Formats: sequence, C-alpha cells, structure tokens
Amino acid sequence: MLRFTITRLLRAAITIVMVVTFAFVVLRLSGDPAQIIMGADAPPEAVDAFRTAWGLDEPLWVQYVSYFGAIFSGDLGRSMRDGREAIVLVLERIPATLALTVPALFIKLALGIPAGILAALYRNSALDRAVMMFAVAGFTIPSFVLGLLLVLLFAVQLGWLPSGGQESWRHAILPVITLGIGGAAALARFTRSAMLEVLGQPYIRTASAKGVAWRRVVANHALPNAAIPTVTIIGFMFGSLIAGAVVVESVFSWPGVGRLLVTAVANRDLAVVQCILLLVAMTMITANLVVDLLYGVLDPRLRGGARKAEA
Amino acid sequence: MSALLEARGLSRSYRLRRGILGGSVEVRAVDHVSLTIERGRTLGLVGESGCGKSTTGRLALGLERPDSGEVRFEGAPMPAPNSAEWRRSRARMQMVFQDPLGALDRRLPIGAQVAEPLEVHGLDTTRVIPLLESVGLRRDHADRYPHELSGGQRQRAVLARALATDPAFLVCDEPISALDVSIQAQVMNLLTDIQAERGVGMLFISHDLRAVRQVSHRVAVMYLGRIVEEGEPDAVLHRPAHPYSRALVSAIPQPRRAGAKLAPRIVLQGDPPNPADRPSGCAFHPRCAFATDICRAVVPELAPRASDGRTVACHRADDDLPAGAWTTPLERVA
Amino acid sequence: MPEAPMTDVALGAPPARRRELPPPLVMFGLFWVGLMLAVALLADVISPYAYTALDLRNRLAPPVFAGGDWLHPLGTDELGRDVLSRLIYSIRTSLIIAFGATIVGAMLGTTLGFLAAHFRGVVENAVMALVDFSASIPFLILALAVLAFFGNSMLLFVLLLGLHAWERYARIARGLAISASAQGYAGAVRQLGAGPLRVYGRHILPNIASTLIVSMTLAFPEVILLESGLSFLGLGVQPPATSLGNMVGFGREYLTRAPWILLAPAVVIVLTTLSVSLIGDWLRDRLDPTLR
Repeated sequence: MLRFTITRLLRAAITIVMVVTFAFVVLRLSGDPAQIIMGADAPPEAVDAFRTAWGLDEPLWVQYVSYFGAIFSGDLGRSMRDGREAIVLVLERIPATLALTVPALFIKLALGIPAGILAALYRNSALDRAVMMFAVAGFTIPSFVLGLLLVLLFAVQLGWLPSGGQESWRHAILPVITLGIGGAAALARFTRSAMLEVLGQPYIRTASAKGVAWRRVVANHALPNAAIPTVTIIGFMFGSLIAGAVVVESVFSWPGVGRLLVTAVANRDLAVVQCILLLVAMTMITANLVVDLLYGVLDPRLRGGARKAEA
Repeated sequence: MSALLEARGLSRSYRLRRGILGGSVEVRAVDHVSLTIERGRTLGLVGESGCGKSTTGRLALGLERPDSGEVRFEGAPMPAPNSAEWRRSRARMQMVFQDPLGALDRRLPIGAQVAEPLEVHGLDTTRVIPLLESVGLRRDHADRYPHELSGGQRQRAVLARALATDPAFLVCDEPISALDVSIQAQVMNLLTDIQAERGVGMLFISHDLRAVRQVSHRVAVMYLGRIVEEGEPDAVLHRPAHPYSRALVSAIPQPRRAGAKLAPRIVLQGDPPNPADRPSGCAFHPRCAFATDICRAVVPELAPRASDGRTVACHRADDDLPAGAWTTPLERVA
Repeated sequence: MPEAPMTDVALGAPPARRRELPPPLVMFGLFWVGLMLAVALLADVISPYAYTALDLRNRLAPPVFAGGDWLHPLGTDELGRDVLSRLIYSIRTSLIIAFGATIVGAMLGTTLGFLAAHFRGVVENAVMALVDFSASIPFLILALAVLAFFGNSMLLFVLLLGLHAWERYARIARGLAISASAQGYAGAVRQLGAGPLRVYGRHILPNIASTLIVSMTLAFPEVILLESGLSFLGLGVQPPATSLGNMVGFGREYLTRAPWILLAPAVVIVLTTLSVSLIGDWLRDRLDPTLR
C-alpha cells in the first residue's frame, strides 16, 4: 500500500508541475508577463518593481524556478480590471459557485445512482428504457439549451421562478436543477453499465446458483463491486465542484467562479484566468488522487496483493 | 568453413515486477547458452514452457540482444536490432511462428503478405505464386484472407513468407503445436523437404521430443534457461543421459506391444520450475531423485562425460543411476 | 513440391454478413446526419438569403407556424436577418469545425500513441504524462485559458478543439500497437525487415482503423457540444461568422420576445448530437464490442 500511495503521490506531483509549466509557457508566449499580470494601466515603476521582484530580467530557467516559488506562496498577480489580487477575487466567488454545485452534486448522486442500479437490475424493462432515454437526453442536450428551456418554461411562461440573478434561494433552483439533471444522466448511464458488467460475472452467477437469495447477492456482491468504477466518475464530479458550472452560471447570471472566468477570458484578464486554471487543476488532481487511493482501499487487487476469491 | 550460426555464452534476463507493492525481480530467462547450427542441418531445442527456449530462438535470430555472449551469423557478428543493417540481414534469416493466424495480418490477402519480404528487400515479387506452390498451396490461395484458410494452410503461408527471400537460417518456434495432430505430420514433412531442397539451417523449438527427433540432426534439452544435455537425437531419445531428459523421454506415450512390460513412467516430483526463483546449484535438483549435496551447491557445466563422451550437465552423469530410484520422496512416504 | 493431397480443408469463407437494416433510431440518425451534410454542402444554393442580409422592416418576425409568413419561414432576428439562412450557414460552420477538430484530435492522438509504442521508455512516459495532464483539467477550462492567452481565430479554435479527446486515441493506438508488436502480425512483419513506416502505415493502422473510427464517432458529438458551448459564451466563433452555439447565445437576449431565434439552432444541436451518438453506439456494437 505504501508503494502504491507513493507512486500516486508522485504522479499527482508531476501533473501539478506540468500544469504550472503549461501556465508558465503559455504566459511567456502571449507577451510580456509583467505587463500582463500587472495590467495595461499599471504605472511603469510598478511594472519594473514587479519585474525585479519576479526576476523577469533573469535567465529563463531562473524565472521558471521563481515562478514556481511565487505560485506556491500564493502570489498569483493582480486583476487588470480593478487591481485587486487575483486569488482574493477568485476565492470571493467560490461560495456562490459551491451554493450551486454542492446541491447539484446531491441531486446527481440521489437520482443517478439509484436510477442506474434499478435499470441494470430490471434490464430491458420499461424502467430501464426510461432511464436510458433520460441518460441519452442528458448527454445530447447541452446545459445551456436545457437551462434556457427551463427559463422559458418556469420563468417566462409560468412565471414561477426568477430567470437569473442571486437574490434569494429561489434563484438557485433552476441552475441547480440544470446542473443536477445533466450529471444525474451521466451517472445513471455509468452506474448502469458498471452494474451490468458485475452482474454478468461468474461469481454472481455462482452465488445465485448456490441458492443465495438474490437480494443478498445484489447487496453483498454486486453493489460493492459495481461501486469501484463508479467512484471514478463521482471523484471527477467532486473535482469539478469549482469549475463545473461555467456555462450554467453564465445562463443564469450567477456571480460564481465560472462567470468570473468567462468575463476574465473575454477581457483577457490573464492573472485571473491563470489563477482559476491553477486552482481548478489542483482541485481535480487532488480529487483524482483521493479516488486512486480510495480505489486501493476498495479494490485489493490494485494493491498487488493476492486476488481474493469471491462468492 | 565456419558454422552457419554460432552462439556463445548467451544470457538474457528480464525484470519482472511483482504487483504494484513488491519490487522487481530479475528473471534469468537464458543462462550461458551456446549453440551451433550447421548449414542445411537442424538443431532441435526441447524443454517445457518457460524454460527459455523461445528466448533462445529470439536471441539466435537477433530479435533481441543478449545481456552477455555473442551470436555470429556466417562468421559476422549480429547487428543491433532495428538498425538498417539488421533489417537487411533479415533476408538471410527468418522465423516461423507458433500461431500462424496471429502472425498474419488479417486485413491483407495471403499473396500480398508473401510478397511483403520481397518488396522490403527489393526482390522480384513475381515469385509469389511459385513460392505458394512450393509449400503446397494453390495459386488461388494468393487472393484469400488468413481467416479463409485452415490452420495448416496458414502455417504453409507463413512458411512461404519466411522462405520468400531464400534465407539460409530458419527459426521454427513451436511451428506445429497450434495445429491439429493430423496436420502436424504434413507440416513436419514439408519442413524436412524444404531443408533437403534449399539447404536451410534450422533451429527447431518444441516441447515435443518426438517432433524434435523427427526433424533434427542434433538435439539440445533445456531446463530453466540452461542446456542440460546435447547430442544425437537417437542417443538422447533412447539413452537419455540427464535425469531431466529421462523424465521427458518417459513422458512420451509408447505403443504397447503385446506381452511387453510397460516401462515405468517417471512422474516429476516437487515444485514446477519458477524462473524467478531459481534453485541453487543444479536448477533441477529439487525434482531430481539422484540429487546429492554437490547438486544443491554447484552448477554443473555442460561437458562431455567420461564414459562415452555424451555432452551433459550433471554431477552424476558418470554414475549408474537405477531406474527404480524415481519412486521419489512422496511415494516412499506413502 | 510433391506432397500428399492436403487433408486440411479450408474452414470456408465466413458466413456472408446478413444485410439487415439498422434499427429505426439509427436509421433516423443516418437520415439526419445525411440531411445536415447536404445542408452544409449546399448552403450557398439552398439558403434563401445571405446570412448577414438585413430586413429592417421585418425585425423579430415570427416563423410560419407561429403566425409568420413564408417570406421568412423560421422568422427573423432583432436585425431582421433570416433565421433559416443563418441556421443553414451555422450548420456549415459548426460541422466544419467539428469535423476538422475530430480529425486533428485523431491524427494527433494516434501519432503520439504510435510514437509511445514504438520508442517506449522516455517517449512513452512523456506521452503518458501528457495524458495525465489533460485528464487533470476539465477541457472547457483549458480551452478557455488558451483562448484568453492567445485570443481567438478560426484556425486556433479548430486546433484547440482538436486537443479534445486526443488522449483517447493515444491510449488506443498505443495499446493496440504494443500488443500487435509483442507477438502478433506487426512483430512478424518487423522481423521480415520492414521499416517502421511500413509496419505502422500498412499493417497496424488499417487493423486498428475501425476502432479509431468508432472512437471518432463517439467524440464527434462532444466536439459539437464544446464548440456550441464556447460559442454560446461568446468565446468561440466570432461575429459576423455564425455557428449554432453562437446563434443560441445571441438569441438568448430575445428569449421572451422571440424564442424562435434560439429554439431553431438548439433543436439542430440536440438532434445532431443525438444522431451521431446513436450511430456511434451502433457502430461500436457492430464493429468493436471491446470498446466500452
């Protein structure tokens, strides 16, 4: 287990280095980083001070090293729009985004997993077909179309809910539903195929042939084994708590990280973009790492131990 | 005139990872193996699966580089794999595979695949049809796809492809073990005919001692990466010198003549060999009924034995070993 | 060579594949994709107006089925531009981008996968680290970052979307090439003395083509969704050019007064992604059941 953990930690570290390198290279390619980070209106002496502080007159590899230093000490530059620190600007927006993505995550889990399990257990039934249709629709209807359709129906036609903004909890309902439904569809599809795969395994057939009650076969053997691949996609959903609402936040004018990103990209506010990029990458890498380690706990085979006989 | 192919002291190890947890283990697949193959002659290499005989074949053919030792082909050292010189040298040496379906590209007709070595080496591609006919395929097989042929026909196609550039040396790695028994004999006959006609030197690798005897001029027996006995096929088959060869020979089913006493079957005891955990001394000692202290401590060298000059790697090669002694530990306990 | 007559009889040709029609939903998918391709190819011929032509007297005119007239069958937008004509040109733009990006991704991924399989060692580790890297950032965020740093142009946009899903092709190409070289046909051809170009180009690529094509069909709708998502955010296709996502994005302003501006492209996006995924799933089940 120790070796497994160390390998995974090492891979995560390498990926973080690659993300930071990517940001460094891209920033370097797109112009004078001092001017970009400080903003076009920054006074020249401030830009010079920044240059000396970040060592931009040094050779490239020294710059690269100090870039790492700056980033890991949390110095991510200032927004060129209002001169505030990019990291503060981004952190401010996080609660608003989480207010959408956390309830949406609950919807995804509460709707997607049971739907997938039931569809697999009652394969080819009407229920299965309904779940599959829901899953296909969830994939093919992009979130901005779904969001706008919901607005058209519930806000414009029926007038039950507000179409955008963040004044009260009622404003969060439509965006949360939009996010939740799409994710639930993906999760249902994934859970269903993971479950079907497990149900086709010999040990499940053996268990039920031995006369173990079907309920117990499902509860004791099928569900734990189907959980293993499902953990990956759930981990990905955790990883995208910060970044997963870019389009939906724009549809509903919700002032979260996603909308900040879109405006920052449109204005080429690079310090903010870089800050969000790094933050999202760190979250995703951490989530992937946790999933990998959890995998090791759930699936002893991956730890390299002997394969335990099932059933 | 030098031998067609000479291999001296070949060794090859692989690193094998034990799961994600454990470190890697070095597995010595081939250990100080020396071979000589003469023009127009066949050396049979026999042993159980995992004993390193396929790796020996790949080393002899230059598909892999040995960790130590040297292969000389027609007097010149083997070029490094995948170098331009190595690629050119492929025209002179070829391989016949165990699984002909796997060795053929299922998306190309047979004719195109037999023509391929000719294209690669810039030779006359009109030779395809005569080639097919020379291995007993028909002209119209050229337009067929591999899945449209039978196993025996596929192996003939592989053989035609291997012979296209008129090579001097052929490695046949278990060429018949994937075929039906009824077809095995045909392919074996084809191999001997081809050798008689073209004077190809062959290394014939098999786990089947009878098959090896049928085509070989000399036989080498391999156990856990080392050659333990070498000699004339008849000598090895009828009076095996090494205890392991004896066990192999006794495993061959014998037609029982009326009234004849059934020779006692030697059933090997002990753990099956694990290349990753090689026993000390003679690798065969844990399974050998005649093992003594020296066998557990010292690796026996392959050398002619004093009594009759047979080449064998066994400390007890010159002792008179009783056949009955093979009722080994387990049976004696019982 | 004189030989006993061969007793091993050929197994015979495989049973001829029954030519049965695909299921109705797939038929619909094929029909719809065919229609979209025809529209994209014939855009200049069938489009009633230029997509930038203004008709200021008929602004926000409703479509025929909502009380409009046949002058503008799908109505007009806030500047009086014909929605049908804009839709036709948007289909062309979106399809060109999606095709271009899918092909770029497949070529890039396959090449990197082959390089990893051929050289192993450092090259392989580098490619696999890149795969890890692209799995670590949601593609939308990565795309937005690149667009922020480099600004937007059509070529960059296509190349950028081409990066989507490259790692899938790389994984497939690497895995299949390694297994083909280890024991299979590719190893056999290599030991004939063939160079890498022949081994990869003539043997491995045709053998894994069906798997790659299925992957492309599965990735294509995702590229359409990405393109329309980015264009919806105003960061993809820039006016005066028009694409499906960009029409939805601009139509959103008139959601209350003229929902048809937005609904027409939205329906096309949904039907197209649906059709291509149906075809992709069907192809996968038929050609390559191992791919899941």
